[in-house]
Amino acid sequence: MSIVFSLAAFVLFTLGLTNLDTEAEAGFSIDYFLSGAVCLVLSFLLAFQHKKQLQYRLKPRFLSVVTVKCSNENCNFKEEREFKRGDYIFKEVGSCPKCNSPLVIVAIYAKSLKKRFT
Amino acid sequence: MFCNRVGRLRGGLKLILVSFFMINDSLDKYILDVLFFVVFALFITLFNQRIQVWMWIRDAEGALRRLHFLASSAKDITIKTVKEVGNPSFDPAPLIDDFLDFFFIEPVSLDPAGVIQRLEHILNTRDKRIEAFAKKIAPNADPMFLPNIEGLLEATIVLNTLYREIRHLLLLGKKTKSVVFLMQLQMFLPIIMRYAEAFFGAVDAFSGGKPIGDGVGALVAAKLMRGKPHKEIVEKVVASEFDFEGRRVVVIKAKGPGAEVGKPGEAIARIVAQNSGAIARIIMIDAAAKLEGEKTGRIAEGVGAAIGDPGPEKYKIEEIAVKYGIPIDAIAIKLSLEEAITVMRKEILEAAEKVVQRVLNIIKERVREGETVIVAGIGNTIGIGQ
Repeated sequence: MSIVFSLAAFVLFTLGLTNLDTEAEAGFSIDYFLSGAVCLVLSFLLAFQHKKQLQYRLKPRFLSVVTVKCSNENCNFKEEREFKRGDYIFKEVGSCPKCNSPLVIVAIYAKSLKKRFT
Repeated sequence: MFCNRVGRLRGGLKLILVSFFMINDSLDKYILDVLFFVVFALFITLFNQRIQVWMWIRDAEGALRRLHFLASSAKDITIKTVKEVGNPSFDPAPLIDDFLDFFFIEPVSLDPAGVIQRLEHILNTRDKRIEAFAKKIAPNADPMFLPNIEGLLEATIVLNTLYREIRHLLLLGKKTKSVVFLMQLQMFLPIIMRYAEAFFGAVDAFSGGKPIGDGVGALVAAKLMRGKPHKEIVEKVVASEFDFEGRRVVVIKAKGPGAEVGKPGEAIARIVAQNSGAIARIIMIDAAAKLEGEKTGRIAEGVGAAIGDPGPEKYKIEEIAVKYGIPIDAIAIKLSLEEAITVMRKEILEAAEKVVQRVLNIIKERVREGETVIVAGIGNTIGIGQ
């Protein structure tokens, strides 16, 4: 539809330009130009809408993040990494590099990838 | 002769235009302007509804394209996950394709007597069918991951149903040229698309085994029973018993980390029966639908059975509570539909920690020393162990 409006805008602008030379037809030229401008705006709007839909289709909005924490209460080791299949909350995943106590997944959550305007 | 007539017509028109519109410029321009105005007025009068219908159809077609993309992507993800996790020796795609039309018929409610039992029977049959199908297409899957495949299948079925329903309404509207059909369809599209996007998010969560927002109740229970012994008291429900400042606390949740909701109603009824009704309180924690404008993760307190099942489990809890006069406290964590079935947000995770403290405070305030309290964490426990 965007292409149809673009073509219509092109035709109307061409008609407007070809009629510019005759003084009597000056009124028509403005009509053509105005109609062409409306078609061009509609064409841009539709193209923008389509682009937005495509972007939405392709871009993931969230990233699943895992927080791993040392089970030793005196050790403050904590790290965040991307989620891997098989992870779950309270799963033991190896040992702490600081104190060698078991590392436990304490949180899995979705982190927004969108930029927030404040 | 003809030129003479045209000349007279032009002269007449010019006279009309000059006298009515006080203009005396190029006649051709004004004739065309008047013609344009007449055509435009006729066009708007006669075709306004058609233009409106065309716009509604265009909106619905766009939404249908998106729905088709979501439904087919969900199916592809399901097939890929089943192949990766289940390692079948055959191609599961045709079987999954056939299963997407799976449905269940609700029991007749004209005679309400026994409708809960009939509904429970049908729900049990449906669950067993989906479970058997998941085992069939993923014979080598880890038993822990099998419930996730069931959840994945259910989310894909919902997306497929939504796509087919919208396509049906759009085609019917086009065929009958019914403005009412198309108008209703277009007006419901924003909410339908929200559901569809949410279910597509659920597909991602179930295929990976990630915790979802609905599991916040189960997460609170898991945090309470962490590090304490637990056992399976009814099918797919685990319970942990411990002492908290002189009070006996029994915490229950669905058995994780697979996508299970279990039968918490049956579990509560069994615990109450085992204690001969000597239960001081039942505290239920569940995710609840927030109203637009409410903050995600907001905690609300109330009374009653906080459980969003189709009916049977809630009925069992209410029945046993009435029988022994046990008060039921409800804690709801507010979230939207999208947040309930997609990967858990940080706000919900943080709310779970606050709810743990609130539950412990309720126990201290409303349960006397030596008494027993049941704490039930309701919700889908996908991605949450115990």
